[in-house]
Amino acid sequence: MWPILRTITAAFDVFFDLFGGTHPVVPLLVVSVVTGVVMLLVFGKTSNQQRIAETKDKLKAYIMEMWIFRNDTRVMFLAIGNVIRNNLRYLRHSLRPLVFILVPVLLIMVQLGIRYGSEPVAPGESARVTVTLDEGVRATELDVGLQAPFAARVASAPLRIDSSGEVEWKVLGLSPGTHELVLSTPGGPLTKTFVVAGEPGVRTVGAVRARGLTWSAFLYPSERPIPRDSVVKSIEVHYEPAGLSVFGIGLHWLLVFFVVSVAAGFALKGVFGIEV
Amino acid sequence: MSRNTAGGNLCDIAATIAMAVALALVLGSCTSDAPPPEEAYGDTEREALEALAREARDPGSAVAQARESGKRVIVIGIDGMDWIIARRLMEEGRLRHFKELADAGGFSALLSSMPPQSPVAWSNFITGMDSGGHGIYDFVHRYADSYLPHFSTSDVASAAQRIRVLGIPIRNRVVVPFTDYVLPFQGGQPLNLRKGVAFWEILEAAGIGTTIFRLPANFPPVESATGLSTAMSGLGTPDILGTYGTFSFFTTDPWPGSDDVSGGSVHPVEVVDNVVRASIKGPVNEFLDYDRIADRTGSRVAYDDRKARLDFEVFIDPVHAVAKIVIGGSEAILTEGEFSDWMEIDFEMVPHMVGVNGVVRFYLKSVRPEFELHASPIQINPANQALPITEPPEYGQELVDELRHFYTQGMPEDTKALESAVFGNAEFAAQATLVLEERKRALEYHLQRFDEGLLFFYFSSLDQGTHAMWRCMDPDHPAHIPDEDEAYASFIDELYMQFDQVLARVLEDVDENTTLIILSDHGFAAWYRKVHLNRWLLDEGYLALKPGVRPEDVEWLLGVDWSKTRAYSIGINGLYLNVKGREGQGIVEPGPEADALVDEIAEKLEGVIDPENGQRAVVRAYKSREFYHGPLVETAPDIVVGYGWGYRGSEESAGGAIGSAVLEDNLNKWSGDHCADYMHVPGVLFSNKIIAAEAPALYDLAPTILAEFGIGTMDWMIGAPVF
Repeated sequence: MWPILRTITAAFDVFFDLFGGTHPVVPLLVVSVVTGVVMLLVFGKTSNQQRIAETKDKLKAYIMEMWIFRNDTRVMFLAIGNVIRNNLRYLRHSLRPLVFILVPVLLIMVQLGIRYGSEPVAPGESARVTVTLDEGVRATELDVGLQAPFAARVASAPLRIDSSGEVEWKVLGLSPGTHELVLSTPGGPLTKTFVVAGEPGVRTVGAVRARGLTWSAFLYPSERPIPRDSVVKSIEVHYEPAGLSVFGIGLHWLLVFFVVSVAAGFALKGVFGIEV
Repeated sequence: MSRNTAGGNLCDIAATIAMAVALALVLGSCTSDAPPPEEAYGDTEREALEALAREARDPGSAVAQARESGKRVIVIGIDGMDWIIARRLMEEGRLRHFKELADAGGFSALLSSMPPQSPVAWSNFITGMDSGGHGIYDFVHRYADSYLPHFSTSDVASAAQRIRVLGIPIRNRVVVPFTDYVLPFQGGQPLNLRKGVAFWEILEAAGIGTTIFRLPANFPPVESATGLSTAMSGLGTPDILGTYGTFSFFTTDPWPGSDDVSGGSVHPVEVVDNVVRASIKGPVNEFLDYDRIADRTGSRVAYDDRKARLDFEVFIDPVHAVAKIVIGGSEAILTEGEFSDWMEIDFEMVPHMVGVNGVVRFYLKSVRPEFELHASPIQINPANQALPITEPPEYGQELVDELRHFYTQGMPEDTKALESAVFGNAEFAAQATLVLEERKRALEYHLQRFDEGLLFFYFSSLDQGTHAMWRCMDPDHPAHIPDEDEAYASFIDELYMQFDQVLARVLEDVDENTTLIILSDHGFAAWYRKVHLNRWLLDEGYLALKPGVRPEDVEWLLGVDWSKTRAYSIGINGLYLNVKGREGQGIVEPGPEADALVDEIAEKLEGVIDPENGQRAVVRAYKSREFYHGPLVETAPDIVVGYGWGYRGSEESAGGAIGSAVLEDNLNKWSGDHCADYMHVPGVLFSNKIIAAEAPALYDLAPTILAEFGIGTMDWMIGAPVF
């Protein structure tokens, strides 16, 4: 799993490097439009186009029937029933292509999430770093330490909380760049990226490094998962949520991605002759 | 550690009106149909503004030419900058940029208001009038009918007074069935009690854009008629409890009397398994029907228990001096001796429906052996305003976007924590530095966004720093403790030097088309001795107490026998006669009897001699009817007391207490002050233009700024341009 995710991440890194000097929304728009087109093509190939067209025609017909016979209650209720039935049928025809679309869209969203989801730490500002241990391991009895590189500084002593199995530090960002914190544990050192703002372009900001094949490891593929035999379940840097400003308006990247990709798909369905 | 738990401070006055403000906070956040505030000015002023607007549309007019030329005026208000200290530091070469500005342009002492208190002084500045025109005479005024004190600059219009049908007040809320909740139709509305036209309203009428940042006596901020004015309120802006600032202190080591700390609330806590669980208090929850709860439970809900609460946890490392605060979805790690960033919190009033939002920052004073955590007064969030603090409201969001959160209460330096020994000198200095650094960032932002028109920018640091730390530089002060204070002997001088750097930055943006004005509202004096004015009135037979009431038990003038009282004091410098027809239980006939009594008391006051040193405690007693100008003289205190240098009215007397003696040493940390006679505490006026006026006064500045834009002095102003 990790090699696949690593390869995808590397491919996205190359892609985003092409947009180094542009506004961050530009590569997001490109990814969204391409996603919309690719999903449209996948939808076209994996769906029963004829059945979808028939179902949509029926839907239109029953809606028209509702309008024409709006004074005839019996006919109108029958038409409403048919609209609901064909709507469900339309959803059924869409399910199969959605299965094919879901996985690639999820992978793309993960890649966008690690680039647009978190705000790097500003120089001079700090972020909490939380190490979560295996259940049953007492944080106060474990010998762990955190070292920062020259461009960052560990700004607090470790705070060990037995009840939640966590050890936390405050880490100060000093110089722009992607730096590595080193966590010393009984099982050997573990690293975690720590991103300080200031470099141009869209940077990969992986908030979590998690152990093994977990959902967190899937969501944050920018770093190799923590070995399964480690007592450390995850290392998290608590970055602030990132904001995306488009023409002075603050938008969530997910909204931009969905609106633009869906709009691109609908806009180009006629060009590709695909029934959606 | 010694702790001062004396009550009677001005902040206590704030607490008495907190309930009314809390109502406005809660309801104001969820209603929009607010009534218009009382008119601040009348037909004469309105006609003058309309005439000015017509004139400004003439391209040949001076104002139109100034506007078209992109004229810029930058005014920096440095509250409390003292003329004598500034001059000394300039002579010593420690205020290089101020010296250069003075040499190239002008530098003068600036006559303050009488009394030289910030709300009064800045109102003079704002309106070009004195107290007789704008109606602000003191930090504290009184309701004449009840004699109870209230903030002079703002008040809350009760929601209960505002719902009327055919002129009849009706119950303005509905009860939610099967619950203890009530839903009001309307909320209270904060009112700016300063009268008169603000000078930027005049500029706005002439089509000139203005930005007014944190100017005192501007809460709630004046509404912009045209959208050309942007403002954020300053002194007078409450915290979300409705007080001038109430800190919270959580400790495992409460001390005797810690339940009565002025300007703060102390909460005993326990550390259990390295975790502290506590709650922070918010405003009173006015969405609960306390009568109904009392009927149901058989006991009345105490005022303190009506406040909304937010639970939080603090996790402590068993060995290291570090802790994590978890509150309202936010978390922060603090090392002992460290302040947190701002944390946004919500007080739930009606579950999942109505809440009040604020921001707070913590200071981890100690982890062990005793756990001690200070929480700042909870600030109104500019991006989610529980009360209006910016004009327009979107300006608040803009500020948070650009600057993140910052102190919004009127005077944010936590002198109350210092006074109660929750903060030591170092901690106060660190917190005051945070305030100043925030303000510098705000100045930088405003200089960058300032294009043309007027920018006014205000600093409170010098005022609050001098109030709190005067004793450190003055070995003669009764509160001076050599071991603790000598390390901070140069604190005030260093603050002045920081403002020299601020000036250096401002000068970078001053070009030939820019007029720069730097002013303070007053200077400073030592405050060695307290004058208990009500005690003097009692001793002289002007004030009487009800039978059996001991002087030391009197607060808020409760216990005064009004049928035998001819004069009383509320506020730091104000002395009122108990006038028949004006006061609720007045006995002094207005007219000749009242005038003769004023003359008599004034003469006696000016003869008050301090037996400790033979000095005059009062150098002049100003008779309002002779001293002030304008239509509001009748509402003024009858006598405004001009204390001698080193003297000031006690905070106890200001809040309506009596005191044990007429004079006593001031042992407070609040050791420098300016509420003496105004001739003792001149402010400063610097400009890049030559100052022609021989004795400029604060009320001259509004005409001066108008003149810079080609606008003549308004008829109602008593000042004149100084250039």
